[in-house]
Amino acid sequence: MNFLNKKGGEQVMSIYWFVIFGIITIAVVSGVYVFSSKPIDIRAAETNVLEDKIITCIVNNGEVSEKWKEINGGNDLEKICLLNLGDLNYKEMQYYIEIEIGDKSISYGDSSFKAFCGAKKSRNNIPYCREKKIMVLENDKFVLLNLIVSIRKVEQNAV
Amino acid sequence: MQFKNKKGDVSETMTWIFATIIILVLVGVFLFAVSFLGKTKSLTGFNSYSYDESGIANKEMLLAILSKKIDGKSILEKINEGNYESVSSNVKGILDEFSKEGVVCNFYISEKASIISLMSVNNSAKGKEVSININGKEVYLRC
Repeated sequence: MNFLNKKGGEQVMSIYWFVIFGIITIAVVSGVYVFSSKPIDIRAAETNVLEDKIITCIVNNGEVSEKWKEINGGNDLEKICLLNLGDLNYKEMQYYIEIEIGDKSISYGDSSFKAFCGAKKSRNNIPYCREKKIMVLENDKFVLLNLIVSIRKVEQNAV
Repeated sequence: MQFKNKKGDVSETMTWIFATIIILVLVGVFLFAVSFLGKTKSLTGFNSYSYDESGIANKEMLLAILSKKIDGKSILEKINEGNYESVSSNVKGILDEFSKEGVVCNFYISEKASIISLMSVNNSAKGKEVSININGKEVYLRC
């Protein structure tokens, strides 16, 4: 037998290179897929948007607006502040909003989420909750506006 | 049979076997790292910018402070008049009132980049700083 002919070796090497290129290609594609398929938790940003919408609705130039007097419940809050708290992906309510200004307080949504307020940030598989305190004027007196916004949406954001 | 110098062929094969193993290990490490990094993704990437604070709440509070009337005149009017001593004592009182409710703020006025009046309960206010320009004077609030 004569093994001096190296042409066969080159063919074997070409196949080997194609296999390696294939493995690397599959690795890069699956790497990108794995990275991009992990959910980003946007509930903090959504909470911020919701807080801003509520604050701009019930406070005007630092004073409690007339709209706040018209709001007597959650449904009023949705109508008057032009909020849409429905989510087609879920049958159950995914939000909890609590607003307290002076003696008047209204709440809307699933109040069980309130229990998660103050939970550690690292625990992602629970509803996100944030409490905001701001001072506003009502009849030329400062009153505390206590706003609690909580969003569940665990499956979409934090699995 | 003629086997001319087989040592070279064997060592070359071994080299490629090891190279293949290294490539596969690197691919494994890459996939593991990507999977780990995927979990730490955030909207802001690696930036320290926080999307949590838009500053609307602080802006409303600043407007509330400026609209507050003391002795028949609002803080805004007193700033316009340049009555900074009165503004300073009044705003200090307001910020004390805020801090009793758990809202800690810093408030200062600057003109031509130099601070002309600074009021704060303490320096632990960490929110987004907002400002309003009043006839060339910049009024800042951070809560």
